[in-house]
Amino acid sequence: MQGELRIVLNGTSTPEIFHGCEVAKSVDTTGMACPYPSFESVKAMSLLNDDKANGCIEIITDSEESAFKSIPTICQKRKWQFLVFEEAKDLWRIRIRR
Amino acid sequence: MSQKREDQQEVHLVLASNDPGRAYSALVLALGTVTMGAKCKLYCTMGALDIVKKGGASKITMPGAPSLDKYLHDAISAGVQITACGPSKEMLIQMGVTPDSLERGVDFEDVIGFLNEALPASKKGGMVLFI
Repeated sequence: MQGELRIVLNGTSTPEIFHGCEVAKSVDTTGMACPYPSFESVKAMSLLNDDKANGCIEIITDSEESAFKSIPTICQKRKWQFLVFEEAKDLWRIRIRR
Repeated sequence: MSQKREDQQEVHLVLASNDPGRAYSALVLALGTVTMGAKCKLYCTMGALDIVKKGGASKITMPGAPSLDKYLHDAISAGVQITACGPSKEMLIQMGVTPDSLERGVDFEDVIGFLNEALPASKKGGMVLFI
């Protein structure tokens, strides 16, 4: 996917760990009001089973604030790594992993 | 979903109104607080008792937002501690509040109970907000 979509925000020093990373959970927060995009992301993070610890979570959001600020903030707070991809105009796909 | 740590920051909210602008703000803050990994408590008193009565939150709406009901239940299941102030039996009766009419997951608590947790929390750097 990295080849197809443009990375607009990089929250990892090792982006290669996202290559071929299995999506263990997917969260579509399109149309959700604040703070639901972050809230649902954290919920997915806490529900990710340990046996899937190597997988990543994919979050879709149409909120610029969530894509560039809130979700990166909660990732940094919980020491998760992230990449924000531009999916379309006003639509972002975020991949996060421990 | 909030992280449990000894040094966990706490946010104690007081909501005293059923006005949608205040009630939504309180629950958005509560959800935001647990999302940030802090502990949150929401103490509902006076007009806000309408929100913690069974079915009460579903009557509070705001254009473009899901009903307050969703926020309330999401907050409860995410670990936000929600309490209802019972100033006196007579006031509760007047407001139509009984232990059976409270939303599941909401407990009665008086102002001493609230302060008993809010005072130590604020002493170690927590926030107490009146909405």
